Amino acid sequence: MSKLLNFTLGLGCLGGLACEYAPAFEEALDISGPVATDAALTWVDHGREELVFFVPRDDDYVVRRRALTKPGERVLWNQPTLDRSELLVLGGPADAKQEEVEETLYRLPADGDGDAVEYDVLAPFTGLALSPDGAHGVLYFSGTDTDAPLNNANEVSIVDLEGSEARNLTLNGFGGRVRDVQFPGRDATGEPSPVDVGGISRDIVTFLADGEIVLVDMLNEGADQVAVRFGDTGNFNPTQTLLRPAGGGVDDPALFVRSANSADVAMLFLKDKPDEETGEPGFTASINLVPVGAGVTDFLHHDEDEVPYLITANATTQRFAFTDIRTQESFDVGAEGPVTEIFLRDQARGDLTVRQLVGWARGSTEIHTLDLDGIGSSIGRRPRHLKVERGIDDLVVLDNDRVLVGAGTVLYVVDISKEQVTPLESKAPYDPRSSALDDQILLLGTPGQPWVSTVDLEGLNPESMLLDDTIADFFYLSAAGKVVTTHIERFGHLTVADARDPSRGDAYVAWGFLLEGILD
Amino acid sequence: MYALTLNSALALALLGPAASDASAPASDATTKARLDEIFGEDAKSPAPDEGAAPAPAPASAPAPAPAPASAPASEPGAEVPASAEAPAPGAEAAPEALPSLGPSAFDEVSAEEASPPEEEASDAAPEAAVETEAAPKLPPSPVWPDIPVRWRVEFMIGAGTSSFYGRDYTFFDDDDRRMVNPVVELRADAKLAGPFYLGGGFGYRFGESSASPFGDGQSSLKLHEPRGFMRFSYEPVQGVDVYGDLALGLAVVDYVVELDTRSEERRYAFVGDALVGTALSLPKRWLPRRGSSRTTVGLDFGIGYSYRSPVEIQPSFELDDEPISTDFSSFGKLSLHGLTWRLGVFVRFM
Repeated sequence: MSKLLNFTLGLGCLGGLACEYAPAFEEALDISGPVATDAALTWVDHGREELVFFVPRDDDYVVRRRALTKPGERVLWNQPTLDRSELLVLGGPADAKQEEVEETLYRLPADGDGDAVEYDVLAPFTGLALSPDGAHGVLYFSGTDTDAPLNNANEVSIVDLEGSEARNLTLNGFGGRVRDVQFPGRDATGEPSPVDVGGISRDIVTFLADGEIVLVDMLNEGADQVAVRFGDTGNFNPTQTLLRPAGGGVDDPALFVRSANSADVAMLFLKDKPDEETGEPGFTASINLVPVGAGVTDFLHHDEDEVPYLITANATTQRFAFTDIRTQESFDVGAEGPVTEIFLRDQARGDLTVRQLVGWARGSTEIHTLDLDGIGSSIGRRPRHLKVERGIDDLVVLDNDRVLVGAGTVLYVVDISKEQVTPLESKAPYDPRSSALDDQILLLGTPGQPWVSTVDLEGLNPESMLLDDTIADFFYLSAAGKVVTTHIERFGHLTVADARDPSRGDAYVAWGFLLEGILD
Repeated sequence: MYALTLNSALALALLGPAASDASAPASDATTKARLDEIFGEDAKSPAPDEGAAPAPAPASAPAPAPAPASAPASEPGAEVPASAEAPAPGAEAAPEALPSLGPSAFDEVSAEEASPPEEEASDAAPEAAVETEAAPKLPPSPVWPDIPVRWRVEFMIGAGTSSFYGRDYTFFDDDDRRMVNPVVELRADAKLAGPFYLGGGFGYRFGESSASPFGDGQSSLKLHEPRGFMRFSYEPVQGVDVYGDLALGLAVVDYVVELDTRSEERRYAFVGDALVGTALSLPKRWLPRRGSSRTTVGLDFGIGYSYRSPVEIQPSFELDDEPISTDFSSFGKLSLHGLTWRLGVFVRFM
């Protein structure tokens, strides 16, 4: 149709003398990305206001361009869902003159092929937090970087990622500006995290601001928000939250709030409380303080021998502290080395499985493990240590048994269950975050060097495939079974290889795909 | 040449009063001097013993002198035979021969100049006789038979522009959607009937453009287009042709795309043109050889529509040894079509 129009218009202008000239390729390319889903890489072509999906297949690929549905709209940002099976795109007015365009969050299929679910979110939010179960997303203003001349910093939108509803609200706090959004029921990614409060299942999201915190139930729209202020001194600024369900001798769920500059952890017991005006079911929080000492950098909860413990890692004292949240009695175990972060895992001991505390710190040379079975009654228990010779630059938990430690040009595969530390040396520094696990195959593609490597975690035999160009970014597309490495080129340049057995013979390079079809 | 001229002069002298109403006196002294200069003694009136009438005789004759009854020159368009055996004009033959004269084979103007009016010729006869003896005879001006045009061969060189529709071309042109096209053509046609001609030819058209896509990229495009064409032409007036061209040819599309990496590619397409135009040339009568002219020059202006089959723009570059299988994406189709015009000068051989 457009060609016919062009032809018709063209006949009307003699020799082009009266033809209006509209240069189409004069502007510099304005393309951002990529963002990876489990099936595709996605770029945003801001010049054409289109999403560009690169969908790798076994022997070829598909480049799919998709414009947003409304004229005058532009992409503000995009991000995959938690399981990377879908893509979330926030669209907003292209400029201030597009008054008819409202902000909309789109939920698209991973490869861009299919209908989009639309959410009216009302504001050009700059941040997105996803709940651990992937069921909800919370949009908020994560900073002051917004184009809106006037915006409500505490306006948020909670979207149901399994439905099509968006709940827009302003936080009913004490005037503090939202700095972070957390889902405190974070025990396991992919698992639902509701807690029972007074017989009602509630999925709590916390909004952290200076000196205060606001709790919102994502499941029950009618429930009032709960705002908690931590005094006027300003020395308690929430940085981390953790939700413990009721049980273990504790009648109510407890929300722990840690402040980086406080010697106490706030413990908020969530209790059922109907709305005073409407009588609608609601909840409230009663505050307790748990003294843990200054220097706590991480915490978690664990019940052992029917004792509900709050376990903290103290970087200053280099000790693990165990506090009974009922009585606030505590004891500690020396980590015997630097520790700033902790996590729990299961360790097989014969026929038994025991919970184990793992602690580590950036820059240290040891990973500490401490068995938690009977920890309250085992006097003198000491942690065990796994030596990381070159020091820990970063640590990525691969699964229950294995972690990956980056240490300059050495990458350590640490099997905690076997207490085995395997160094993999290379000529370039490895980035453990540019890695993925495909069953028992560890995939590595550190930026700045031209190798994609695989490590069979059973035999720990590394193999590497040489690329034709250095890596800019590394992606693992689990649904496609491909690893994709992008290269530094503005017009689209990447290499696709099989995730299980990458080889040059089966790999292919795509060049210029961001300009594919631009003349049509 | 001499024989032709002399014969013609004689014939004109005989034809003069009947064929012309010109008033130029045959005894013009200047003309005689020129005759003498050109022909010398041979230009003087033939001797009486040769059987020809004395020089003043045609002028003094009461009736027009007869033309040779079998003069080939009497046929339109035929050249005057350069034969000295042409029958000498005689006074006896004149009355019968005159009516059979067709259109003069000689240049009309020359005949007019060479033939004095009948009355003046009678009155001035004695004086003319005297003068003829005293001065060289009037030479005939060169005469050019009007040779009909049966075929034409032309060589044209010119330039014009093509205006392309669609945004794809702007990838290769920062300035506008027009491409300047130098063009050369060699063509020929033949007369069908009346003023209509049919023919064809070959041509070559060139085009070039460049751009800086995306700010810092470089791109350029070159077209080489050898074409063959058919032409139908109508010449209502000599020197004015209105024509229509239908052309088909090959478009060799060379392009360079330099976006971080340089790529040079060549593609082929077919090109088709449909043009109408006019060719204005100098008519024969304005040329030195007049009706006999075989060469002229002119201007050619044509305008029409030009179509090229779309070519795929797919930049690629040389890879290292044993590269991973590499796929270069297609940027899409470049479709070059639109209005085109050209203006040229040509030389025509007839």
